[in-house]
Amino acid sequence: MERANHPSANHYQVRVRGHLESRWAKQFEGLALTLEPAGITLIEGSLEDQAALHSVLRRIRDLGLELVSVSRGPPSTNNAPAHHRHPTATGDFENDCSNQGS
Amino acid sequence: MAATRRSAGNASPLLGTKFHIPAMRAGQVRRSRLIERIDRGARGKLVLLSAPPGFGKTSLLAEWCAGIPASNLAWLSLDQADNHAVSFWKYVFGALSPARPGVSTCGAIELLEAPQPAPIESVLSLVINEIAADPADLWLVLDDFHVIEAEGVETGMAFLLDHLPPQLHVVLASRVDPPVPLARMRARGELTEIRAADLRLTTDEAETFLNEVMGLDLNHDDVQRLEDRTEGWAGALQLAALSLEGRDGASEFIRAFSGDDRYIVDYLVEEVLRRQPPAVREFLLKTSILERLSAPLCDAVTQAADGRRMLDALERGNLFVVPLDDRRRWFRYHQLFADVLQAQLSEQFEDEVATLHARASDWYAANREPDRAIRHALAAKDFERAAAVIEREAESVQRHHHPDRLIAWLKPIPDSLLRKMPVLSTYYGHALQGIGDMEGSASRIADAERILVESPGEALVYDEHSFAMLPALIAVGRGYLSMAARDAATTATHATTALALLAPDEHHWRGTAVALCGLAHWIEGDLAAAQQFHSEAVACFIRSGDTGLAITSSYHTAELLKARGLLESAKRRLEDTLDYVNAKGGASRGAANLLLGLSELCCEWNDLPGAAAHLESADRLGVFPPRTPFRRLLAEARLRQCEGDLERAVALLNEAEPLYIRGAVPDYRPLAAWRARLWAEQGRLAEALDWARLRAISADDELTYATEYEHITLARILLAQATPSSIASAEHLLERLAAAAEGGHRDGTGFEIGVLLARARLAAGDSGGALSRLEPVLRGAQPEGYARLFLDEGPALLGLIRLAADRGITPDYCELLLRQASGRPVPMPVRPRTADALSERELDVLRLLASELSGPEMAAELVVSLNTLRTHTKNVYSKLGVNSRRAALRRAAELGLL
Repeated sequence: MERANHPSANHYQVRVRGHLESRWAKQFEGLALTLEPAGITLIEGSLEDQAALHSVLRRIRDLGLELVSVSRGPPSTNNAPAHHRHPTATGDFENDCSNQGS
Repeated sequence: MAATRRSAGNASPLLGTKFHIPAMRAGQVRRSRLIERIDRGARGKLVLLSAPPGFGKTSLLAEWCAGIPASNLAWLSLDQADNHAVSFWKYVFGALSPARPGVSTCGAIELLEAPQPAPIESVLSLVINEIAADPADLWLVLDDFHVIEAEGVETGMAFLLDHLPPQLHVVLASRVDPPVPLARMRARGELTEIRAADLRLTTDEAETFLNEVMGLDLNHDDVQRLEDRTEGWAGALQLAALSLEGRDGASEFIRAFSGDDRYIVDYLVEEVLRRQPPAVREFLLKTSILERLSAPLCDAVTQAADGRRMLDALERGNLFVVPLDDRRRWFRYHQLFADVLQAQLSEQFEDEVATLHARASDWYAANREPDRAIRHALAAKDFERAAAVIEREAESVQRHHHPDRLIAWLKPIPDSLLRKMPVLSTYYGHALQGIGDMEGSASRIADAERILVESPGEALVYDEHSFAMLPALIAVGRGYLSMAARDAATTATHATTALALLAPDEHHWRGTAVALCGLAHWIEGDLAAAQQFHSEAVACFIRSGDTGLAITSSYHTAELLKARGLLESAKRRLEDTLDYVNAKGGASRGAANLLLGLSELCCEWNDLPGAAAHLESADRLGVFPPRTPFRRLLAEARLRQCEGDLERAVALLNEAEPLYIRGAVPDYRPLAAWRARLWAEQGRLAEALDWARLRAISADDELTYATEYEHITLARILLAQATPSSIASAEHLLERLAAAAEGGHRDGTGFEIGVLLARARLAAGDSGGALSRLEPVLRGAQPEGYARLFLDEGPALLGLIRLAADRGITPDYCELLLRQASGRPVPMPVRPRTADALSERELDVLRLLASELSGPEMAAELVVSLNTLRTHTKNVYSKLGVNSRRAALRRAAELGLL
């Protein structure tokens, strides 16, 4: 996806309560899902702009998920347990990794 | 209950399901304490239910509504399609109409739908007045308000809540706090809120639901555990109950569920799904893409025939399928359930999702619901399919004058695709003209031409009929662009090209091209040609059924006939069109314009009571934007002017000024110039001269048709100055204007100029010369019954008319004019019909008289009432000097009329 290379794109981390299965990644196009302790799911990735962010938040609202936190910042490191990471089919995960390298 | 509700205004009917008040579901937990709170709050302005999905807002409202008589309720279920100011308010008005029928007829909907929309405050004021007219309480309930994010709604809601009549109360259900002044209303005690915390089921309520309503036999600990895990979230508890029905080992299930971190709804829906037979599971997953479900639609999507059976079973099993009407034709899934199903679908049937959307899109397209067809196509990112639907609807949208609808549909379609679609690009070009984007329009039309010229083999076409006409449609598009640039020659060229290419039965497009020819000739000042083209356009539009366009072209034809000095023909044209409109039945937004035209004719004939009556009739029919309110003020200004109330006339013109909208038709009577004339008459010469200076109008200018009225105005001002040099200037200018008017066959204008020249001669002391100026005008104006032409020009001219009578120049006419001037009541001037030609209509009647048809049959053929036919027939007989049908036909044959 071109999104990750968009100049004004930012990396966001959104946390919700309730673990989401990998199949939910499709509902959050281009974002990665990571299961964290205490029943938190981390939804993170590069979003083009504020409108895209609000779209994600609206999805969360419509699913009745409890929104725990939203923050903007560099991609989380690879310290998360590997077997809980759910990369999306679109390969943004790979882009994130390569961005770190350049 | 009707499947659809009529909406005044010209777009699609409203979906009845959106007004359907949901019934209480079997097994719904009663929430009496919350009902009491709503009851109390419902006496105030606003009750708000604000909580995430699945908390039971709609169920609670259903329970509350069951206790209110239907005649006091206006329910509206909102969805994505309503997220547009015009749609939203149309549906709100539709919801209010059964209880307050005036809402549909007060003109609010017309104002809302006008191409230049009125401020929402004006629209709502009309509706609020209608609501206030009846003291009965009325509750407006808006469910799923969170889908509305359009700007026009927020402003409108704030206005509505600020001006809420005491009998109207609003109830909103939303997943978020709505963009409405909540803090202020809270502070004033005008708001009652029911939030998530209030909606959560208490342990007792949970126990009642699980054990008594769902018939489970759970012990207290289990109930507590479930309540903890779901936090009283009603939707989740319902899912849990469904998962537990008939299950052994309820406690184990609950313990496992409590200890699991998974998103609850996901967990529970999966459990529920697991317990369904495979056929049901597949049905649920595949139909989860649908916003609304009906048996035929489900069958189309699943390619099976068990839709009816499935929906019934799901409803009985309480599987989150909600009926949308009384007849169990339409349902929807609860949003949460559908979302989870869709996630499952994308996992289990990943490859099929696009196909499912495609089938849904096709079904909706075949069932004439283009909005949903397009949405499904876009959901599958199938832009070509979406574009195909749009292209097939484009002509219809174009003809109903909703360019913004087409433009909104086209927004998500990539340009790369559009550039391969010549038909759609062309209609896009037309639509952009409708919103005033000429540059965008030119670009899209150029795209269409490029495909046709450079790569016709690659063109994607879905509307073959339009494709066959495409060069003509492009020519019309280019013609209107030239018209906007006031390039008459190019406009005429394009219009002629279009006409050469269009088939004889393409009445709508022929009419458009013909009207364009009319406009091209009009701006050049060739009014005779312009009038004939517009007259022909009327015939085309009558054949195509475009009543609104027929009215517009008729109005223009009448204006042109007036300028040509053919007042009688103008009157007949307007009356014939009114007959046609009345015969067609149904409201027509532009019909009032015809009455305004008649009003101004009556003014010219000095029939002031008649003029006033026409104004009243116009008001009764309805004066709607964009241009009619402007014309209405001008028509009244003319009447006041004739009555001698110049002050009021000026005030009306001032009121009208900001309403003027520039269009394709030339401004042949600029308001500022008219006002300057009034100032000159009032003696406010300095202001009148200021106008001339600001407009840079001078007596030495080159004369063009476009500035004719203004130059005549200048001549009037110069005459009013009454100095020898100003009078000389005026005369010189008028001579030149007379020549120009004669060259363009603008006889009506020629009369006015002639009268002014007579005045100039009088002012120079030359009554003989004045009389020689006036004589041709008297002779020419007499058959048409002109009155104000002379009466508006002051006492000196009346003296000249006296002189003319004495000299035997049209003495009867002069006597009538003088009597009118003195104010003595006289019958309407009889306009002698010397060898009067039959009008178009009368010729039509004559031709039918030659056939074997009976009176009623002839009336039907002409699309007029029997009375109108009789009037025409009597006129025909009188003109031919006969008394019977046979005699009429004989005389007509003698005259070579048939």
